[in-house]
Amino acid sequence: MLKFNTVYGKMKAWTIIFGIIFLVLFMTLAFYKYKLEKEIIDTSAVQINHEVESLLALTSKQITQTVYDYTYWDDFVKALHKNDTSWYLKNITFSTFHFHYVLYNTRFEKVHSGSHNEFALEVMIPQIAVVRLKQTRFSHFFLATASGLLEVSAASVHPSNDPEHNKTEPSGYIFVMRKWDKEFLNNLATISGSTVDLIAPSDSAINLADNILLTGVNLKGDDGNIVSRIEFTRILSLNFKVMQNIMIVLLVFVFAALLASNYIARRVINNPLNLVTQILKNPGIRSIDLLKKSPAEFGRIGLLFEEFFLQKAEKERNAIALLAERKIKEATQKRQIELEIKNKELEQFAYIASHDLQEPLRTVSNYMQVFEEDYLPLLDDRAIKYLHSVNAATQRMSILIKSILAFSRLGKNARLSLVDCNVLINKVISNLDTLITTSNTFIEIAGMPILNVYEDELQELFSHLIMNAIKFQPKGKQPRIYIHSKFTDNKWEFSVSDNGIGIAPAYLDQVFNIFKRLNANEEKYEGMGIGLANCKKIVQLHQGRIWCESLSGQGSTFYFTIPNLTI
Amino acid sequence: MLIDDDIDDNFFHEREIKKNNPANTVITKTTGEEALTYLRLRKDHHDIQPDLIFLDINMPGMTGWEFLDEYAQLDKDNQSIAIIIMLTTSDYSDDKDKSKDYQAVSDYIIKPLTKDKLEDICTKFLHE
Repeated sequence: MLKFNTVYGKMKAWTIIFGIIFLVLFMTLAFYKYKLEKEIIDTSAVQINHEVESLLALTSKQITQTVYDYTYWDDFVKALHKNDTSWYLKNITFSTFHFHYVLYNTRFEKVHSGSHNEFALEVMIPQIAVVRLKQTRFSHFFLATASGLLEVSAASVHPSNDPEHNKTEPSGYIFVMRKWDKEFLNNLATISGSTVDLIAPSDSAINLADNILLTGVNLKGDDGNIVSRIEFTRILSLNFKVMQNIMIVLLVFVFAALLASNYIARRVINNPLNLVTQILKNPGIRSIDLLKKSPAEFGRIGLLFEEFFLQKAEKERNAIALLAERKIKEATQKRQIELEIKNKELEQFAYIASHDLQEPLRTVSNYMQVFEEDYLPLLDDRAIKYLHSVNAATQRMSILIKSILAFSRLGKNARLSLVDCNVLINKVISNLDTLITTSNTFIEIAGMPILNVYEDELQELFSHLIMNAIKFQPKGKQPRIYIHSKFTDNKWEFSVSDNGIGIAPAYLDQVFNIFKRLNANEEKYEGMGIGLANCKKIVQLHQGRIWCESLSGQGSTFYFTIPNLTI
Repeated sequence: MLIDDDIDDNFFHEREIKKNNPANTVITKTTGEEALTYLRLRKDHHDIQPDLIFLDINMPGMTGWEFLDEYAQLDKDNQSIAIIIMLTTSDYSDDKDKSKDYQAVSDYIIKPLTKDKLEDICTKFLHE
């Protein structure tokens, strides 16, 4: 089934139309060729017929005219009456034409014959032919003999005053003969430009080639029967066969070209177009590979398709990656927001709890004071001691609450600024002047950087660490504190070392927990257990890490890191 | 004048003031509205004009801040002669900063009011 709505289909249709048009033209040409050929052959046949007739007439005229010229001659009449052989020999000569002759008297008796050779002597003219001549006066016929075909022209002999041979009775009869021998036929062939053959009447016609023209003339005897037939055959110089061959070749070539163009169209246009359609409908690597191998522009289109689909795939991959990234980002953001809300709630909780706890505690402490002022004289020593314990506990409670409050507020409203840590630590030391002087503490500071930090918070951090270093000392020992820093792994690492009591390895991780106090002996090392928790929170605020290394009894070193923070 | 919803605090603070200061009268109001009413109707009732107002922040109903807004709307002679001092549990720096925005507020004190704090205020604001 042909589809004409495709490019290939249309090309195919045009090929078919072109084929049909060509075929029509070709058939017209073939018909014209046939007509022309036939016309040429027919014309030629007519022409050759005419030529042959003229030639034969002309040839016959030679002999009949000669015979006529001799037969109204008074001397000939006399010679016949006397049967004067010497006159015959003297006056009747046809040697120039190679004619032979036979003479008959009125009684139809052969009286003389003559020839340039002895041939005529053997010829026997049938008696009936001689007798018939008495009536016809002239005759022209062919005679088949053992030695060949003879053309015979005969006439009765009359006086010169009777050129028409009808006024007087014949004085005798002359038969002039010419032998149609090989030489004669060759002459005819030369004159007519044909091949000349004598054919016996019994011979059947032979098949001849198209370009051979044949014409024949029947040669009749005296009795009117056909004695022989002369045929002229001529080869037509126009060769129709070559033309026919050329046309066949042309036909074959054109149809081969049409088939080839159809094949090429299918290979070069239809198959690639099908691939393009297939790719657009359902893209596949195999189709694109095939299209890439297609000839001409389709190969380029294949390359473009490949590029397009690769880009598309990459875009899709990127889109998926982007989507995944966005999802992760959203999830992270959501978690971050949740965390912030939780943190805020926790902060709020800590703040409100500590704030609201303060009020009843203050009321207790206020009434304790009032009680003391108003009723002290009524109390005994034990009651006073209890009262002191209650006061101390209340105060401690108040400090704890304030510590929680301070811890919860740590980092709130904190601001980053460029700070010289050397200046900052010296400020801390001057704030702790009294403590340092009374404890006779030695402090060494080395290699402090200038960097972005939360100034107030970092100050508090150093303050805590220095105070701890001084506080946790065996009695009477001079505290020695070394504060160093170095830049490693893209961040500043600070260390505060002391020569204090140290921390047992088991507790190294716990020291930073809120309200964790390692020393049971409260009187000796008084503290709330919130200092290092604050330190940890401050370091976390700086996105750093804090840890401690220590050997029990040999002092401890607190490390913390601060990365490069951008304002 | 003490404006505080906490009766125990009021009791203690009044006692402290009377104990340490020659102030004759301490007027105690447990809500901002009551305090404002007192100040508005003071002339008609021939009540005394307070020299000093101690104001709590966290109170049910009208807060300390709301009281300050209303207070600013009062006639000049209905306002306190001297000063308003915030007296609160909160040592939250935000509150402290906010108090500075009010012209009428002269100081910010964390509870409880002690002898030292009172003396400090007296030397600062009550020369006469």
